[in-house]
Amino acid sequence: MTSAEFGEELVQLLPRMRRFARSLTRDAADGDDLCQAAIERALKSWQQWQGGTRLDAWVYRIMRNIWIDEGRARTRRKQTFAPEEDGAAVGDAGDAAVEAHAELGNVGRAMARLPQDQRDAVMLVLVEGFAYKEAAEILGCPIGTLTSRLIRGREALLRELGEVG
Amino acid sequence: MTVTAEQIAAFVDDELDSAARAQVAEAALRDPDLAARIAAERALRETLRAHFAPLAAAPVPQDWIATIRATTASPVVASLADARAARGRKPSARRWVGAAIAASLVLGVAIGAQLHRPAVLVAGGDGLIASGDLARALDTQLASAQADAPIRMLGTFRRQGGDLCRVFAGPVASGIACHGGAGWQMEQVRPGSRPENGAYRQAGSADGDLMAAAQAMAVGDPLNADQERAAQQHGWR
Repeated sequence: MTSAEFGEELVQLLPRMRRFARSLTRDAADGDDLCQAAIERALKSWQQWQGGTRLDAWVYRIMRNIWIDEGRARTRRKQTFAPEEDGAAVGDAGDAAVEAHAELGNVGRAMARLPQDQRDAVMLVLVEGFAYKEAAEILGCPIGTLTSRLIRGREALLRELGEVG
Repeated sequence: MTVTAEQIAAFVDDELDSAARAQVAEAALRDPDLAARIAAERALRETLRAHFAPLAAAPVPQDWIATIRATTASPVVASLADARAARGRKPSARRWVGAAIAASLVLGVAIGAQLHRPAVLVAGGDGLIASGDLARALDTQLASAQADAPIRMLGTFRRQGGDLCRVFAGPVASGIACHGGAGWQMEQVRPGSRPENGAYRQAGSADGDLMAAAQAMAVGDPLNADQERAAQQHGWR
């Protein structure tokens, strides 16, 4: 595979990358920033990608790792700068943002309320159609962990959206 | 049989082998609650897919596409990959991959602008090796004597392990090259600086950036004019 062929495959993947980034971050602007960071890293290290394996899984793993690393940095900043007694009130600013997004609709809101681990598992398996093994590799967890996140996520969604069908 | 939540999920997600699948299907035929649960799981999947489908159909920013194409369109990176594939080598250290991409951007410009000129960087076994004018300048040009040379030597130093390294700035590329068995191997590559009013810019921010990188790599003080001359006479060893 030449770099140009790699580039074209990456271009084809962009719309789905962007969707997964938005699911990870629960915010359109943060999602696009994350997507750009992932593109940059994929371009730098494309020769580490094993041809014949799924490019989408490789790029998603990169993207999620960046997001997790940034999350740790955010947490550290919060711990450093927030006075201790305010800690309980800080909460998750993301939840307020989610509630404010009326345009998300019931489904989007229900997804956004899931804990990150469950949302990632649901997104990868139910929406993206990855096999359990592939999804577990992207998330860097054992398959058993993946399936338990998936089951808890589904149960929460079914509770919230009603067991229609 | 009792069907667990794991089995229901695996059934809906098509993760069961055919025997296990048949068992769940058979159980669902006898158990209306289980059948309803499977139907609800299936409906949830369809609801989620329908909800998120438009996001993956939305156009993406054009500049992302342009960045990817510009970065990967390079013949240098392609030839590195091809050369490696031909030899069945493992990809080498991550260290220079970024540099290779930076260099390929530089070279892409250079190749477009001056097709008749030989490249100043070529793909070597372990990275990018100086070639043509750049190799000549690294071999022969002393930082202390280079009045109007197109490629300027900013300094020479030894790194950990004793290799001699030189910081250079030129119109096509600037960077740090260290002398080894294969010639001058690039440790850092940056876009070059273009001449202004016929003269090359004095050390700018890019040069300062390179000097900082050189200081981080250097062991001891940079070579003075006499030491540099002596190093050249000994073939930069």
